[in-house]
Amino acid sequence: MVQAKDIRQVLTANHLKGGHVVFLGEGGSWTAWIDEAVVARTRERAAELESKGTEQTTLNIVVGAYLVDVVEDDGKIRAAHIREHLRTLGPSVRPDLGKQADSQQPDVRQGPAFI
Amino acid sequence: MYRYDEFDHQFVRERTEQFRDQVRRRLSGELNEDEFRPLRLMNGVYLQLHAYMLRVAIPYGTLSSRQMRRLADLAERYDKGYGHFTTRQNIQFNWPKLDDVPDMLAALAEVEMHAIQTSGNCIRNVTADHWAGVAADEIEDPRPWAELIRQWSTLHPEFSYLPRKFKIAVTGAEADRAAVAFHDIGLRLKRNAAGETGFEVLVGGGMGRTPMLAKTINAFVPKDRILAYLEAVMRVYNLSGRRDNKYKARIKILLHEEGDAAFRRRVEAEFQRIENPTHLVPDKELERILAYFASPAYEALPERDPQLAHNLEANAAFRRWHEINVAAHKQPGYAIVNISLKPVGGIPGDATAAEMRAVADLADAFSLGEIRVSHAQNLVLPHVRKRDLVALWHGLVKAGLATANVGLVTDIIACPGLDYCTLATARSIPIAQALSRRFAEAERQSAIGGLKIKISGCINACGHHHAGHIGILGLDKAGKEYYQVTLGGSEGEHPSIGQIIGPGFSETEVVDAIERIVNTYLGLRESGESFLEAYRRVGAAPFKETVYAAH
Amino acid sequence: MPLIRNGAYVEDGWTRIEGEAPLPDGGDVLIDWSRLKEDASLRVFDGRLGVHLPNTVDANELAPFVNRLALVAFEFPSFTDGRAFSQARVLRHQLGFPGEIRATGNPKADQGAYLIRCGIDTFEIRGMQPLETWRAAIGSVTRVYQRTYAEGAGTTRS
Repeated sequence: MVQAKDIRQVLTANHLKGGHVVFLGEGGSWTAWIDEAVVARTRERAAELESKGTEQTTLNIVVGAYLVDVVEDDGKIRAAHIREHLRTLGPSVRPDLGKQADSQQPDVRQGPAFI
Repeated sequence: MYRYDEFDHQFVRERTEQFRDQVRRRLSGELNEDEFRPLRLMNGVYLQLHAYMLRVAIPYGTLSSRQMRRLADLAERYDKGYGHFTTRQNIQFNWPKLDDVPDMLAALAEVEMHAIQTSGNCIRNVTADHWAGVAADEIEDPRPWAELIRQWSTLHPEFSYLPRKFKIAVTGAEADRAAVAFHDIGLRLKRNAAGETGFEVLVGGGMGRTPMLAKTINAFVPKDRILAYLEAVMRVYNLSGRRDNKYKARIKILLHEEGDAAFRRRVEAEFQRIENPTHLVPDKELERILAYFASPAYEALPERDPQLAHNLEANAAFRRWHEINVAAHKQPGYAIVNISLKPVGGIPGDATAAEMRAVADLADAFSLGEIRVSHAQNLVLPHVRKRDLVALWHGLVKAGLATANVGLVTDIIACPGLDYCTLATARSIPIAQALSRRFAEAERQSAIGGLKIKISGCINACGHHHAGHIGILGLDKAGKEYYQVTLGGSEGEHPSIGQIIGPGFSETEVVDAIERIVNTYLGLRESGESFLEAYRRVGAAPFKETVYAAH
Repeated sequence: MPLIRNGAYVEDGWTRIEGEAPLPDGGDVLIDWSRLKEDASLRVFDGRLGVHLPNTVDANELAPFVNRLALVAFEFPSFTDGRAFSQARVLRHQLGFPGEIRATGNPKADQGAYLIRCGIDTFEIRGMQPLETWRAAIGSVTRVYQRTYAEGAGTTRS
């Protein structure tokens, strides 16, 4: 039984102008990669992330910010639900497209932050 | 084909600039997302799982080679090199950026295309028989009427904020290839006793979570009154359709709750109040539109082409393709060619920019530059001389587009599902791919014969699973994808809604389950009996038995 | 509340009388639909009458009052609730109402052209908005397809 205090959540949204999937990272910046997302482990922290999301939505930087459950495997973060997992990868039927393809290119991960 | 005049050109240009300004206001924060969403939707822009999606209208499924090339250009320039043809004869681009969309719309406007009303709670892109104007079984070409309805419904001042989306389909043929009974309004051209043509008006069909077949509310509306009659139906719906629950907001629910007779009386009363119903379509305007759909200048050719007969004899692969993908044309010496977008293991309806260009080139060479898009997510070359068939086939083979499976078990309809769509509860494409691989063998497909498998990734039923001989609905059960199977659905002249056969299956089980269903059919069919006919004769029991026995 | 007509702010000279509240001796008063049907004192009221019609009422019910009314206000409770487009259309086009038809609730600039073409001439909005937005939204598409709705905004073909 998962205790209420044992939550693992990250905040996600779509970038307003580009439409791509983003996660709230350290220092309030957005990142394309779920493993760079801030993980809330308490309700209070999750609420803080959510209010940051509301603020960023109001500032018209992202659209539709919401919290998603994640699991940690070997210290790596993965979205718990398949829908969210696909959002972190791209279409499962086109492994050559989306984040799953971009993440194979070392330059992309070093590129400019998505804000 | 219809051609824009200066009026239409000006209209789409202005509409594009209007949307450019709306995007600007959104990005500057003048509009918030709640205000912007209905505006972007009415211009075909969704926000999907990975990115924005732009859905471009292909009114009644008719495209020119020039338009197809422009779609290819857009796919390359603003997307990731491909597009997805949908069950509503539209095309979707999956990766545009919001601030690129106005430029995409401007590029489309140059070739007389737009994305207006491909989404939102308005009258959506009007669909039609993809063989319209060329089918051998046609009473009359429905496309001039579809074009008239397109224009009439475009930015309609009264009917752009409806309770829910509204879909109209038109057919002019005996065989129903437009699935009219599954639309909010289905229009079927009919001839009356006096030999005049008019429309049978069906209302209240639809898929979604409450599938219903449309009911005929008027058996014959004279053609020149059809817009007035539509106006009457739309007004009753706009005023009385439910707005308290989006799942009960379609016109089918209004019709169901009010009863057919009461609904019909209201429509008729409203129709009587519309003054001068025929004045909605001035003769001059109708003639202008009709002229664009006049038959092209066909050559006088013999019905049989000796060279074709020889080629069919000599080449088995060509013969197979001809038997499956080529259909009868109204004009002697001509054929309708269906191009399958369902290669074995492929993504139903997807086409790369290179494939789009290849089809455009082949259309120019062999089909008077004209292409159609079918609701089965395939393409059609509507005007091919029989003597050109073999050359066309070689061209298709070269482009990788000669898959001979139209109407067969691997010609599967599938919505984008959870791989792309934010509404989806499960993936549909991987199921289509797995089934297509399982049944890939040509002999086996021929032995099975006509069989329509349709897959939706959620209850909204964009993959038309309710109308599949075998329907598959992807759902989410405690975070896992699972698939519910229905049997016996069909569009066409005798439409029916598929019935759930029992508990659902996991992603790995569902393909085996479908195979058992198909094998059961092969075991029990009588001579010449199709899957649907066999199902209608024996019912679900034998299928359930074999499917669940293994569990 | 601010009122827009023909792309400009105009004075709202109408007094809204809620429920059964007493009527003034004269002037322009806007009353509820239920009162219009039942209040006998309206017959002797010496002033102009307007009515606020809920969007669940068939606009054809206004037929007996068309000559008595100078204003009909329809409600647009949300951006997506479009019932009053049809009500306005019926009142203006089928009943031939010549007076003012007003959109209340919170009509949006981007709906302005549609509203005008259904016969609405004034927009009651929540809070002041830049008129430029309204003018631009209404004037942005000058070609319209529905010839019988052509009143006021856009030109139709032929």
